[in-house]
Amino acid sequence: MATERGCTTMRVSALLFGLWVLLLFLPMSALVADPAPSFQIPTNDGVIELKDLKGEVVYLDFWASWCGPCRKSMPWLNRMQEKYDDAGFRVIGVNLDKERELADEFLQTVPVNFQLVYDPEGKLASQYQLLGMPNSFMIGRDGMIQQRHVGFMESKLAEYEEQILQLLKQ
Amino acid sequence: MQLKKKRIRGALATASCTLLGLSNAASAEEPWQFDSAVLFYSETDRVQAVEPVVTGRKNFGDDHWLNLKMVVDVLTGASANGATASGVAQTFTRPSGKGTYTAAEGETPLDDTFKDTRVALSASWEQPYTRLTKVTYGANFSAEYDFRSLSGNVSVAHDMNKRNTTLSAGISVESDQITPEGGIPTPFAEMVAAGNTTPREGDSETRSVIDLLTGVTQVVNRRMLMQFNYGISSSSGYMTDPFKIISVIDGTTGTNTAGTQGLPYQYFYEKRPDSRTKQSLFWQSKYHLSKDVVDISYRYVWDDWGITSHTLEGTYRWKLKGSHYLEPHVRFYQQGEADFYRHSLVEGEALPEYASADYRLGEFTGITLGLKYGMKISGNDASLRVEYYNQSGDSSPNDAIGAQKNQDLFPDINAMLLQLRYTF
Amino acid sequence: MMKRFTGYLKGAGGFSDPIVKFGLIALLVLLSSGCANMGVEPWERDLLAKPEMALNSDAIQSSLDDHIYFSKEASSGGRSFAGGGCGCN
Repeated sequence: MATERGCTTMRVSALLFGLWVLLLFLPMSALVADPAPSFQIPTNDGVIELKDLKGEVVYLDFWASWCGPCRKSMPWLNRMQEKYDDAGFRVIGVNLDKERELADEFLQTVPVNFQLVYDPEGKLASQYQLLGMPNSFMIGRDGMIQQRHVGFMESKLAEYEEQILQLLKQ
Repeated sequence: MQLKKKRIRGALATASCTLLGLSNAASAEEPWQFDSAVLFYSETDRVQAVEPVVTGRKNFGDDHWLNLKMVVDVLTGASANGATASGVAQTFTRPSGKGTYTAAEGETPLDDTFKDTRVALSASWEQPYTRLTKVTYGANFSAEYDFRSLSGNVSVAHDMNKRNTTLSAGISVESDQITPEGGIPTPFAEMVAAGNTTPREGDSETRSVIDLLTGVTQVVNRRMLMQFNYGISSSSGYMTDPFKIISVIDGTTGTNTAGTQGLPYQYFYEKRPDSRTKQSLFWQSKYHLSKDVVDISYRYVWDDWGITSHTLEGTYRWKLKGSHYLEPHVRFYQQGEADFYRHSLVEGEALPEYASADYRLGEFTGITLGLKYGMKISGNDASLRVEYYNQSGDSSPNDAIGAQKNQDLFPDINAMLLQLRYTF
Repeated sequence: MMKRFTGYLKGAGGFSDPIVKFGLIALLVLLSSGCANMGVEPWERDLLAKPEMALNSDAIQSSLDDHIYFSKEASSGGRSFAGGGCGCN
């Protein structure tokens, strides 16, 4: 390894390794405090738009039937919807299953009490630049994205609820 | 029955949570997931094994997993002792030194004292370190009549590119103790007649192994996953098989030379180097067709004993109605012999530094053909797998001398395997 | 070509040769960095999330097979099981 060829090998390896480490830190996400892209929401009273919900705190949750943590998050989302319904809190679940039957089967075993939107082609998911599954966005009364969470962690539930309360106070 | 199972699982969950000092609230909802199987393995005229396995897996919340496994392996039957088939009947001394076993004329000598039960226990803990990195710690222990092994391992997996790329690295350290019946024979000592004392090097020996494995897993597209691994393994200590011998042959006639220690013919105990460094390159790809899944893998292994091998394996999971599936499996294995592999030693020739006639270090081709049928029963996975394995090498090598040319110097091994599996 | 490659690796003394070492590091780095644009969006992992698409879809079977081949052949190991799957959390 004391040879010159050995030194060059090490230098090139180090350079490649450095480049690879840099790639790990490439920025990839939409900035928080962006206006939330609007979209159509089919409700019982007809189709409304997300921007029509300004004044309410909206918890936008992207999920799919094949996502384990999504399954765990549903009971908590149901509880939050029920608890803060009167305070102007609305959960909207966006389903990303490619086949509707899979979502329907899932909802049979895990029923939800909040509004659902179906995005089988992932157009809305692209607009919101999801980084993982599940991915949730807390949208303030001003229509701006205030919090984004990737994944569902039971250990962070208290923190999530705190954030909801903060937004509801505004 | 279902309710009783749930209560048992619930009780186990609460007990294990309390033991680990974790919050009972959310984790009590997560039941243990068990997986069990029993394997029946049988070689024509040789080894038979029955091997039940049970594993238990539980999520303690937020991707903290505990895995436990227990295996019991009951072996009976006979195994080749390294001596070659001969034109005469042969007699060998059992490892205990207290009895003999024989091989008829033209028969490959098999040692049938080989009966053993092995118990192995493993445990591993897996948890996230950061959102994109997870760590796994594990330990394994296995014990049988003449062999004991203890090992520990740590591995890390880091996700990148929206979890499309996963880098993994792992290290494993193992320590083995070999205490064969009859003691550790002196390498190249001649096998003595029953009742006499075999030259011994002691009662037991040890060996240690360090393994490093690193790899990249890449999601290629919605249907395809690929993996590349590089591994290096370094073993040092007692690498020899204390039960294997090598026939000594006359350089002109090719017949067994006369024994000088009370047995009719002469056999020397084998000798292997006291270290081995092995490296591997592995590639695997899985592809999801419209309903079926194809799995193909290739592995290249090379070491400093001169052994190289290629393993090519393919599985096709054919989805049938409902949860039923049929899965054919093919495996092709090709191995080159170790530098010190010899089917026999020649009388009068200088002894090589190392020598072994263990067929497992020889040149051969192994072909496996298998079929598995599976389904879900009340939400649990059940499957039945049947496989056939054939190992064949050079029965008439070019360096066979005289009478040896009439014998099969690398007999085929044919084995059948049956596995039943059930998760609950 | 395989024979030449295996012959080279044998002669090179394996991992201790800087060329082989460099080649392997470069391969791993290129694979991980060159793969920066390959893959799917997080919501397109429905097929990958299926148990049959896991790299180790039948862990018990793999370990039973590994044990059999370890006792009958001179090669062992090489596989690892991280990656793929639903990519959740």
